[in-house]
Parts: sequence; C-alpha cells; structure tokens
Amino acid sequence: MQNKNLEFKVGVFVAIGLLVLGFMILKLGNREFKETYKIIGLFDYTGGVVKGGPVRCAGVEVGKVVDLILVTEGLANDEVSHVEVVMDIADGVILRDDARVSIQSYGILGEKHIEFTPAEKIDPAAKILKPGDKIKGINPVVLDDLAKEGQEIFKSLRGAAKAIEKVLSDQNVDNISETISNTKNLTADMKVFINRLDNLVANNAEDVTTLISRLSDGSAKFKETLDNLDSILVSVKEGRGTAGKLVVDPELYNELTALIKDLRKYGIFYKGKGQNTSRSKHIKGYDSGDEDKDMGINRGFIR
Amino acid sequence: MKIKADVFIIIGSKIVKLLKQLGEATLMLVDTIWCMFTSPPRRDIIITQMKEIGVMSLPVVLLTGMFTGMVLAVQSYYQLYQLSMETSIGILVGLSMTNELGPVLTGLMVAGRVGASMAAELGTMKVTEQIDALETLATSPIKYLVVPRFIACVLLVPILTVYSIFIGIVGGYIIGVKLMGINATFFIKNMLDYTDNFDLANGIIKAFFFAIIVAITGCYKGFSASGGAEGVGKVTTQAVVVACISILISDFFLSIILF
Repeated sequence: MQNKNLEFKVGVFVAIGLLVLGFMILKLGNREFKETYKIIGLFDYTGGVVKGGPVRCAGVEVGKVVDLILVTEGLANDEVSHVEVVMDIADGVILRDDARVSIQSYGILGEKHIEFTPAEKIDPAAKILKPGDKIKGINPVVLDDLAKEGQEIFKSLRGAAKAIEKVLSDQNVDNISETISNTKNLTADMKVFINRLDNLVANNAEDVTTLISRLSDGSAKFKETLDNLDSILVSVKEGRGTAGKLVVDPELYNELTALIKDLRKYGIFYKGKGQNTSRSKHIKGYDSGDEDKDMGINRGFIR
Repeated sequence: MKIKADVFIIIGSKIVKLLKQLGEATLMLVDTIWCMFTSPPRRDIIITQMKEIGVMSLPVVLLTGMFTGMVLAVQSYYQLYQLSMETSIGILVGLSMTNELGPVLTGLMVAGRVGASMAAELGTMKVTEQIDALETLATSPIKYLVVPRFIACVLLVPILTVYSIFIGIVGGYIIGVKLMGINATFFIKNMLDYTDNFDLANGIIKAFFFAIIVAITGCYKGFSASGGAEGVGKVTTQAVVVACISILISDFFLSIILF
C-alpha cells in the first residue's frame, strides 16, 4: 500500500509534467499550414527577409518564406541578377498576378515579411497564381538611399534657411516694419477719407438725387431737340420747304444766275458811279477775291 | 628557490587532483550508463528515488520559478515602459524562462536539495563501510546506489524544468497583465511569436545535462567521503558547490553549442 501510494505520487507528478510539456509544445509550436503550394517572388533587393519569415496577404498571415535563391543565370562570372523568394502559401488562399508583392516591416523588432496587397478591384482577367508561378515583387526602399536623399533635402533646406536669414537682415527687417507701419497709417487715412466721403454722400443725398433727376429731364429735352433738328435736316435734304429747295433744287440757282446775268446785261448794277459806291465795291470784291466776310459768305452761297 | 618549487607543487597537485576527480567522475558516469542498460535496477528502488528527487523537489522548483518569472516581469516592465514596449515583456519572460532560467534554476535547486542529500547519504554509507559491505556481497554499489538516482534525476529534472518554465511564464503573465495592466492578447501573442519549440527543447536539453551533473557529482562526492561525520559534511558541501558551479559553467557552453 505504501509502495502504491508512492508510485501514484510519482505517476501524477510525471503525468502532469508531461501534460504541461505537451501544452507548451502545442502552444509554442510554429503554426504550420498543412496544405501549401509554392509561389516564387522575384526581387532585386530583399532587405533582410529570412527563411521562415511570414508571408502576409492584406496583413493576414497566409504562409512563409521557405527559401531564398540568388539567381546567377544569364550573367558572366556568377554575378547575382536577382533573388527568388520561394514562398509556401496555404491552400485555399487565392492570389492573382495583379497583386502588389512588397517587402515590409512588421512587429516590434521590425522584421521583414512579404506582403501581398490584392488589387483594389478584382479583375477577372488577372491570372490566378498557380503552384510554381513567378511574380515580380516591388523592391523595398534601401534605407541607406533614403538616408542619403534625406541628407540632400536637409542640405537644400539649410541653404534656403540661410537665404531667408540673409533677406531678413536687421536693416531689411527695419524697412519691412517701416513699410508695414506706413501701410497701417495709410489705411487709417483711407478710412478717415472714406468716412468723410460717406458723410458727404449721406448729407447731400437729396440734392444729388434732385440733380440727377434734373439731369435726366434735361437729357430728355435735349434728345427731343435733337430729334426735331434731325427731322428738319431730313426735310432739307429731301428738298422740302424753302430751305430745302434752296439747298437742293438747282433751278433756283439757275434762275438766280440768269437773273444776275440779265441784271448785268442791262446795267442795273452800274446805274451811277457816285450813287452806289459801296455796292460796286462789293461786286468788285467778288471779282478780286476781297476778304470781306459778308461777301465771302455771299460768294460761297451764290456759287 | 624552495618556496617557489612549493608553489608549483601546490598548483600542480591541485590540478592533478582536479583532473583525477574529473576522470573518476567520468568513469563513474560511463559505468553508470553501462550498468543502466546491462543490469537495470529494481523498479521500486527507482520509484523511491523519483519521489525523493522529483515529487519532493516540486514545491521549491515551483516557488523559485514563479518568483523568477514575476521578478523578470516587474524589472523589465519599468525599463520597457520607457520605450513603450511593455507588451514585449511576454517575449522576455518566455525566452529567458525557456532558454535559461527554467533549466538553470531547476538545476541549482535540485543540486542544493538532491545533490546534497545524495552526497550525505552515500557519504554516511561510505564512512560506516556499508558500501564496502555491498562490494563484499558481490553487489555493485554503482548498480544498487548510483543507477537509480541517476535514472530518477535524468528523467525527472527535465520534467521539473517544464514545471518551472510554465510557472515562470504564468508568474510573468500575472504580474504583467494583472498588475501592470498590459494587454493580455499582446502579451501572449508576442510571447508565442518569439518563443517556439526550439527554445523549449533547448531548455529541456540543458536540464538533461544538469541532471547528469547533479547525480554524478552527488554520488561521486558521497563515495569519496572519508573520516567520520566531519568528512560527510565536507563532501556534502563540496557536492553542492561543485554541482552548482558545473551547472553554471556548462550552461554557458551549452548555450553556445545549442544556438
């Protein structure tokens, strides 16, 4: 009985120990995917992906990297042309060849993993990746390159900062502040001026309205006058009325010319020398081009 | 000139003694393994030793494992909190318990508890000439006394280590999640992500070697006892010290080899 008790204790101890061990083995074990197929990703730079590293599709773990192959074929001297990343993908995970395949960091320690980002819209034309298919990956940014670029950016930023500093020398700052204060004064003056203008308009608003209405009356009348004048001119042009006839009708001119000829013929203009000197002078002026204004007008009209 | 020669003699004799002891212990190990397969001891003797070594050591192993896991979590929390990485306490506790602290602490505890008792027991038998009596009766003391202890140790120290690892992680979980308020899911997920069966196997392999060291050191030191009660006390102390030092030194080399 004593011995049985002893054996029971040891048995319980071992059994529980083995149970705990089994539990831990199951928990700590790498979650393997039972049925898998292989896909090969082509990269120029893998940035530290390791064998056994995770492969994620849209962030969900769907497989792991099983091999990294340096491909040398086609190049002399065994130069490395690119890297083939062989991945085991769980069966049932359908990946199309329009997915973005990139290398990304994940986790606290920033380990690299392969990330499949499916295209935004499912394109039925895109080929479903079959076991052994190769897909071109997007190379990760080389951190050193990024650092170099960043350095250059900082350099140019520094230059810009220096230039700004130069522009903002003490004197320039004084000038700028002076300009600003001047502008301020100007604005204040403008304000006063606008206020005054405002007052002026407000106080004389009635007068201005009257003025404007009168002006508009006046312009109406003026228009009427113009219309009248226009109609007169039209009449004249058409040869209506005395003035029209005078202007347009050649008959009157002919009559007048004939009359004057007749008058000359019969010497009516030259009735007596002493009697009508002023008139003879006028006629003389007509002949010799005298500059008498009245006669000038007459002359032009007669002709 | 005479003093100088004495110094060399002292150093030389120490080294020769060390090597002699190491050789004798190794021979004893070989002998034990040979006996284990050629003439296995009776089952009830092994069971008794198993109870003594495994079951009775469980409380102390659980206690040390638990508090080690807890103190790991507490100490690392304040450091990792400053980096806002407190969820990685799970990784720290999981990795260090499986790889190092589980097996080493179990080894040390077993060396202190079991190694000492072996050395004292066998040492007393040696000084009271019971071992000589066994030899006169044509019974191999190795077969009758060492092999059961060796088998019990080798079988049960790894299991004790499993207990220690498990309870250490539980302790870390209690402190991290219940006391420090770390998200339980992240604690467990990070621990499982970074700790795998390789780490567990690592710890168990170490525990296996530590078990051999404890058993052989305890038995060898007990057999080498001489004189009276004083001699027994001396070998007991030596057994514990040598076993502990050997465990720590071999842990270093095992870590290098296993990684």
